[in-house]
Amino acid sequence: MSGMAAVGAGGAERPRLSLRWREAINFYLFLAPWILGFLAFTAIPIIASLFLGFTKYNAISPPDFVGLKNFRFLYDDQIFWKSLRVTLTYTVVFVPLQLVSSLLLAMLLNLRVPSMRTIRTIYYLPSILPTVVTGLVWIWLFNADFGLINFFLYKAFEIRGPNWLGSERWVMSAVIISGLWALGGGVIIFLAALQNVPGEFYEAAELDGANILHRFWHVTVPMISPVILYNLMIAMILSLQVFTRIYVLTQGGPNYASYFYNLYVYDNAFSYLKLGLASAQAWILFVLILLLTVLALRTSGRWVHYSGGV
Amino acid sequence: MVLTRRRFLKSSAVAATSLALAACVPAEPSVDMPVGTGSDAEMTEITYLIRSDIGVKIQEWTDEAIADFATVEPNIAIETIGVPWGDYNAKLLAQYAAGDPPEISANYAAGFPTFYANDAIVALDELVSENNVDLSVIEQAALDAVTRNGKLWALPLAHLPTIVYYNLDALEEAGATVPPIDWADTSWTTDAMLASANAAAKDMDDPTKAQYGMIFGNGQLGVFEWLWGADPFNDVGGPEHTEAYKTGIVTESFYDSETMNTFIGWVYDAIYGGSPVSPRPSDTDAIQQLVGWPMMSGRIGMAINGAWSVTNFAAVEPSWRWGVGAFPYGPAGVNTSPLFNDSWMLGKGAKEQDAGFRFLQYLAVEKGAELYAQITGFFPAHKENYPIYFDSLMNIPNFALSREDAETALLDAFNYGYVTPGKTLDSYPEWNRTFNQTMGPIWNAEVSVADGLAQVQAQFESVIESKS
Repeated sequence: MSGMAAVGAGGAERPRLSLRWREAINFYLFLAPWILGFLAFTAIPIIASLFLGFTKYNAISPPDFVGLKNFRFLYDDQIFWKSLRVTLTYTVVFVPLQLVSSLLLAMLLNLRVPSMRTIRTIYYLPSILPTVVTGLVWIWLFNADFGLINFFLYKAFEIRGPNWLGSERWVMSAVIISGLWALGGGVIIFLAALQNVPGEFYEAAELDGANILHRFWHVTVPMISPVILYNLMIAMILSLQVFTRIYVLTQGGPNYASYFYNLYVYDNAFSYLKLGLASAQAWILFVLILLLTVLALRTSGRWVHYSGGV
Repeated sequence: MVLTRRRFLKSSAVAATSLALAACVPAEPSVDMPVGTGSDAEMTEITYLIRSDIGVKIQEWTDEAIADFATVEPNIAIETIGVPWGDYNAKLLAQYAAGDPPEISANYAAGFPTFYANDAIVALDELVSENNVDLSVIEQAALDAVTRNGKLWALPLAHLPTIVYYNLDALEEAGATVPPIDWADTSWTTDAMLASANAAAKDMDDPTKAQYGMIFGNGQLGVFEWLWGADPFNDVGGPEHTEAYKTGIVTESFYDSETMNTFIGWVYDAIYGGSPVSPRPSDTDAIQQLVGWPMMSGRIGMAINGAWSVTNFAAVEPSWRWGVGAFPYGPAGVNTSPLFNDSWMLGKGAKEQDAGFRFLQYLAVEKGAELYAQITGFFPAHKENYPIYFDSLMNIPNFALSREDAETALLDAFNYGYVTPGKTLDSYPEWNRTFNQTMGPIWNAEVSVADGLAQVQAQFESVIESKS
């Protein structure tokens, strides 16, 4: 050990770093790649976008500070309000539908039947397929004259189906239906939660005479309510940020009827060279998502039950 | 040194950090190293942003041009960055934002007017003069299209009129009139084209069997209105009266005009009228998903499109005979064909201006232009390369015209053309999006033409006001 101790000039022993300090240095050294990555690719761009939101910036010339002009412009911009209305309408309709469908599907996939693993895999497949590819398939399915959906409607009910993607009235329904197809992510989380509900709770409820609906409402729902909250927040955030599927399916048309918020952000940034305006829009969306998330969390105390009463 | 656990962990952490930092550093450019001599001389590297989504031909041309350029200028190396059309603007902007614009880029997407308006490209006149570049070999109309305030802002490689393509087998079988090659033939009118389309159309009630007479379309921002003697951006007459095409700045629009109503009504009737000849948008979308440009399905008698669509025939090699003809005369007695150009620009702020211009010169007026005409299938702006282009055109299977007729059909177009808004207006993508979005309800028969155009006008007014 003595050989390990360094002797400095003048024979004084060099003070060694304490274990706590050495651990801290090691900790930050290991963390450094991720901290640097976070700073370079997330934190700094976020801060930069906040600054750019108050500028006129086209990426070619230096940013020009314009104060609140971008926000005032958006306040008066019909397309901004339309895109916000489209996005919120989608979220309000799609999120509950997605949650209910995911939960029902998860309950079906929780049954003990042969080949259930294979069935679960099949149901998860849409979630791992590229959105662009599935978008192209949906374009075919929704085609007014050649699409399978209208073909089925006509053959089964003799109904002439609508022009799903070309009609202002129907395009939102088409977008919602296409979104409901890929429920895999939410289903997996619900499935895991369902499998963690202790079986004795159901047995006790059954002994007390609870039927299947009672058991679902008074046992299953409370027991998985934290997961419902989690899925609700994730679905809400993703719905407000939907982009790729719409870009492929409709490009926001017709007449802006499916012009989602992020599509407008993208157009302003990369098609119209208005990066300052797009940054302001991005921050408005951020604040909106933050408010809705806080609202969901605040109200969750009334219906979310954590085991142990936490 | 003893490798203790602590040393190992520290070294690993330092190595991981170094790797992460290295990943953040721009990669060494994948420079296409020139062959030949000059290894002792200092190399100059320039960046060239190319479009990667129009088939292998552009890539093939780029590769061959760069390899050949290396023999001409062995001390200039080219780094190519390929991006598809949809991402071209975004990539170009990102490069400008990073303070490292490419030396050479093309006027895709936002186009030269937008980059001109934002002071992002270099006026080429001085460089042309210093390097004794002979621009007389380039079609004057193509040069005019990239000239603003008396200065030249880009060098055109492709110059493309809008023409009528036709399926000769389908038209002959129906006994329909075949579009003429003669642009001065005033008997070839929009009504004559409609009559021909009517003759060729059959089984229109059944989209799975229908043989469509024609796809007419509306042109960029509705400029096929030119045939009706008007323009969306002035209330006097044709495009020559539109100030916005000269300045790039749109200050007024007239989408609810009587002429626009008549023109759009005419196209609408061709789709939804009592005797339809054109596919509905949903049918067009379906055919497009199967074969790309619907004309290639063999189920369309005639289709109007830019001369670049010749490349579709080269790629698909249809089994039916096809040809190209003149744009029809409209009710106003004109057959003004929207002209497109693909022009290459020198980025302002790019590090190697001289080397960049040297390469631009090579692409536009030297061997690069020759290879462009030979390989890409795009109509060249370089007049001396016309024979090369027509040689390749004549090699496409089932092309029904003689070489002489093909030359007439394509070359005469320039005498009747006017540059399309996509190549003259600043912020074209925004105007284009506004137009396409608001025209949707009309083309999908959700509103009347008059109500739909009133909406288009209102939206244009709103965008114009937001820009003022």
